[in-house]
Amino acid sequence: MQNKSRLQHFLRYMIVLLVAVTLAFLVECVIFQFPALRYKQEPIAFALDGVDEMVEIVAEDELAQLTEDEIRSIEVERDNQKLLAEYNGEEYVEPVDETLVEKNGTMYRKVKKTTIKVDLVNPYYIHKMDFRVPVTESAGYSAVVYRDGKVINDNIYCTIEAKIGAGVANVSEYADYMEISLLSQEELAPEDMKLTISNAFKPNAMRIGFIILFLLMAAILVLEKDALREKQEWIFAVICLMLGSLLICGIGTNQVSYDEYVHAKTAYKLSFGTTIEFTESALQMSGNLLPYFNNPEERALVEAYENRNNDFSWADIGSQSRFVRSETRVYYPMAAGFWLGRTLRLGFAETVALAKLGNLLFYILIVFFAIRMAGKNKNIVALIGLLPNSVFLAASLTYDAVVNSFLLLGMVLIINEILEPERKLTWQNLLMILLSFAVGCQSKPIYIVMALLILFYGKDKFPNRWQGWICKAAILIVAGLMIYNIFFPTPSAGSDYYLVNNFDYAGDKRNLGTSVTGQIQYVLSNPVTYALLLLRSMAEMTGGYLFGGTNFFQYGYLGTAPKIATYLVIVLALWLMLAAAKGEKRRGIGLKYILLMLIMILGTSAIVWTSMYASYTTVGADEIRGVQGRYFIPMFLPFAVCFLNSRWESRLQQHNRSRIMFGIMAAINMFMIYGLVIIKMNV
Amino acid sequence: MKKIKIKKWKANIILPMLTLFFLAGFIGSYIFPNTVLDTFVINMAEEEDDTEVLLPLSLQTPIEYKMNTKGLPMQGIQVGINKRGHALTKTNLIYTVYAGEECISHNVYEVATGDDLQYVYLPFENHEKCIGDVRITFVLDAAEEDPDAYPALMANHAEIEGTSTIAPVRPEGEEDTEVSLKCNYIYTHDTYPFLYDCRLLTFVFLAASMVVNYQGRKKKEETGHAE
Repeated sequence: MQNKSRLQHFLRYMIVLLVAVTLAFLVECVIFQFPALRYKQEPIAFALDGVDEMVEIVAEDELAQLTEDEIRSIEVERDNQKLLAEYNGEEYVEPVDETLVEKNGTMYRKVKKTTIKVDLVNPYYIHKMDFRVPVTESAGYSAVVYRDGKVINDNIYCTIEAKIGAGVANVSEYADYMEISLLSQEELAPEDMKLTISNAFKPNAMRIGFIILFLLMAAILVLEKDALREKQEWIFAVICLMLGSLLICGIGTNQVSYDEYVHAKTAYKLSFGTTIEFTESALQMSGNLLPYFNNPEERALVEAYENRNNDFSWADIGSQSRFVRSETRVYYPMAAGFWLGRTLRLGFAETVALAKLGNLLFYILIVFFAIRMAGKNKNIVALIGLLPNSVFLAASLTYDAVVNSFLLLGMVLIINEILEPERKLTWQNLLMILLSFAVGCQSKPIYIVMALLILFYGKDKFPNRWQGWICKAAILIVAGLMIYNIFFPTPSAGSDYYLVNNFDYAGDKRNLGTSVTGQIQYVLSNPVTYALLLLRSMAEMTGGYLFGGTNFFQYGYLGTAPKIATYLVIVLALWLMLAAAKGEKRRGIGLKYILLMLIMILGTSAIVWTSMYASYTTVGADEIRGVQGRYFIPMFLPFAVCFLNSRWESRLQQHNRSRIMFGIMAAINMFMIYGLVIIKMNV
Repeated sequence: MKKIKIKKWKANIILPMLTLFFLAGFIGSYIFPNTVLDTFVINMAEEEDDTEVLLPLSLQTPIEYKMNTKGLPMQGIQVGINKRGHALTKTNLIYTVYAGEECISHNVYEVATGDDLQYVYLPFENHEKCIGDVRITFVLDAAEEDPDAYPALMANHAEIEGTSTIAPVRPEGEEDTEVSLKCNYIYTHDTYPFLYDCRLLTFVFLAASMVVNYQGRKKKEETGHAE
């Protein structure tokens, strides 16, 4: 009987898959490939050597204004060189860059401008504009397309990556004339340039995959009534895997997560034993220097470049201690992916994808258990697990996935104990709580403050008063030791031993004028000023996310979701917490724990802000830099349970509540994936 | 019923034992640190407008290098040796280390063992005495070798504070220039690879062992006997 049911289940999903695949191909071919089917034009390649009468080329000198980021990057580099010279006891000599010009207080770079005018004679549907030219420094072009003498699009910009020597722009216009302005830092020979326009029929694999997964998710939410009622962790695992896989496949080797190159380097090194082999591609990944792609054509060129440079026969050899630093262990899921990709002799991009997949699977596994153990709060835990920021981090090279998942598991277990005050604390539960926090806090020890809620458990939780006191004292020591390790890390091997342990030089080198010692001295000598700055900064950030121009849901440097998504999730979370499912009995955490939770959240937030002020902000600055919304994700669950209400009951049954929750979270993520990943990089 | 009793008994014993195990590891990590070599890059690369200089070694006139260890006992030095394409099977480099005026180390390096152009690690004896102002001399012992084939130490024109390189024999055109030996200093320091885990887990297991009911076990065992 059960086998028959399983067979039916399997057949049902096979039919769903078949329908989804068919629909996806139909949508892709009929809607998205419509221009290619309609115009059926062959690609046109233009000779830019002056032979073609329809092409006109003019070269001239030009000044290009530097962006604020470029100016800041130059200043930071100079400051770091000055600091290094000071540390080495050398005199600092400022380097002179002859390509830079300062004019009217603004910085410009001297560039060459090549203008190319092409008369197409007959109108052509330009889907892609492919410009290839060998350059040693990155260049870029803008294009204006005309039809019947009128401008129809003057908003086409494209970068030419020096490493691939090409830049492909999406135009999607029916035009008969085009004007391209190429800016480069060097003089270019016209005969080396190659311009091709095309309108080929090329079904987009990423878009097809997106549509298939979208339809599968919808089918799961419609068909899986039982799982939505009782096994939300399975629904979470499947949806998160789909979302994460789309992100991994779509982003490829583009480094768009926070400091991804730093994490990539550590994970890559960890995937080796004591001897590390850095290929050229791995070195570029570690230095944030990999070429960036914006569409499938550029992606193919970038991946070919990465594979050419992923040759271990001329790898850079390094060594490392056989003992792994404690805070480095959180990189094991990613390191396993790097190791597997290398062992299977996969290409560079596939290896990076495996490393990200390792992180994603580990995240799913831990959050799966957090949801399973959350009892009647499964939906809110799954909601937090599916926050776009969390899903994005899980599908990137970063330790945040380990931090967020283990802290979520730890908080679920702490809250379970609060919700059942009469139940004795078991050693298994306490061990799981403490180990979850120990792992979750290895790379961000300040979150250990959250575990201190155990100190407020009543005496009924322990076998007797003395054991209770000793247990609480031990937990306090655990927290103290983790915080102590921030200031006095256990010595490790490496020639930077004395530099990293010297607080005079400690501070984030991406910013000017940072110094942990200097900042702490400043705070201690101006406590009131700092307290006011802290409160103002916290209020401004909260206000910014709720009412201002900052959007909380973010996919790293790719962009954000509209504010309406934030409001939608807030309302959804409040609804889940304030009203129970139909026929469900539940209890709140009580006023004592509401107050304690709020104090804990405020305290942890203050520590997060202060740590960024000490390490990331210029000494004595009137602002706190570097604090991001993702740092507060571990505090969402304790904040949400403050609203846990036992009096109100929803009209909806549990499976419908789950359906709404998973539906909204999946929709927000899919909306972001389509807008920020598919359109920006894969079309 | 019996199974549950065994499980509780195990927790009562295993958790305190694990606490003691990690406590022993915690103490042991302090007592038996892992000592590692640590390389300090001093002068390894030329500035943009600088060129490398080869300081020829000789049988009689030593090349002298003076520096200060800044309070750390120095374990050795890594210098660049250029064999200039010769095999040099019978040539030895004799390096002697003086802390102040006291000779603390006298060692030999067989030049043949290295590649043609290699940075070699030259360890010191009595390195615990190698603190403060240190002078290192490099001289050759080359039986039956052609003097024209003698190796050279690599140097450049960088100014390294607190060091001096005295090389009486110079290549042509470099007689009066200031040169600095290209080298790394090798120190040691202690690391504690298990300290973090052991000290943390000591208190984690102590906390966990404090929620086990020890009195309950005795009572239940007594009850069990009675049954």
